[in-house]
Amino acid sequence: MKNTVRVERAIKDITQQDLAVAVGVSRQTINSIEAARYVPSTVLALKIARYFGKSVDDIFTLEEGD
Amino acid sequence: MKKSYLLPVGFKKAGLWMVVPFLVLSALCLCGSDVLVDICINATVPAVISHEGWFCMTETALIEEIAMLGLLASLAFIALSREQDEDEMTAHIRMQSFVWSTWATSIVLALGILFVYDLEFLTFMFLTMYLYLMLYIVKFNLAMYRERKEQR
Repeated sequence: MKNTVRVERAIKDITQQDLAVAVGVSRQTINSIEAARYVPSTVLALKIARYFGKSVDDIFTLEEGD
Repeated sequence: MKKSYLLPVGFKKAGLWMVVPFLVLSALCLCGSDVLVDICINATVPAVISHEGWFCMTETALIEEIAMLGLLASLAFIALSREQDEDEMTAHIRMQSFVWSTWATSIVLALGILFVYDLEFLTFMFLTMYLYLMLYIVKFNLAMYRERKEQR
């Protein structure tokens, strides 16, 4: 699953730590999501999307094979 | 609110302090070392089942029960305590590590059933009881270490 978390973060000019605190996870988790090493739960995906004021579909998109 | 079955963070440190002495004590018990003769206290304790039958009193060397319980408690404390930065990704790594450790222990157990016989099988079973937790601890901490290393 691809995501645009890094891009959205850059647009909003916030650090991984800022986002991590806002959605209640560790910085490692945000880093792993951005690097596509970890697929977040629905709850976390919704929290991230809400934080950026977008829908989940705008930030997370399925890849072929998902 | 989601219920967590994990212990508070401090238990991990307590487990780490306890594990070495209890590991040594268990190893000495397992080898039947003479060092333990002086501190070996025999006691009559209630048993659900023993060589004397069901629900009876039986005599045992208390040091063995202390060593085994201590080792179990220390490994459980290490394995089942929260991390400082516990979140859903940690829970995912925990789950993966538990699955891996279950597979590895099952394979070792199967090999033991096939290739270990006589009294040695009892020793093997004793070790296998703790293998599951030990493998989980190693796998989980290795995965967490790799994850943290990626951040640097």
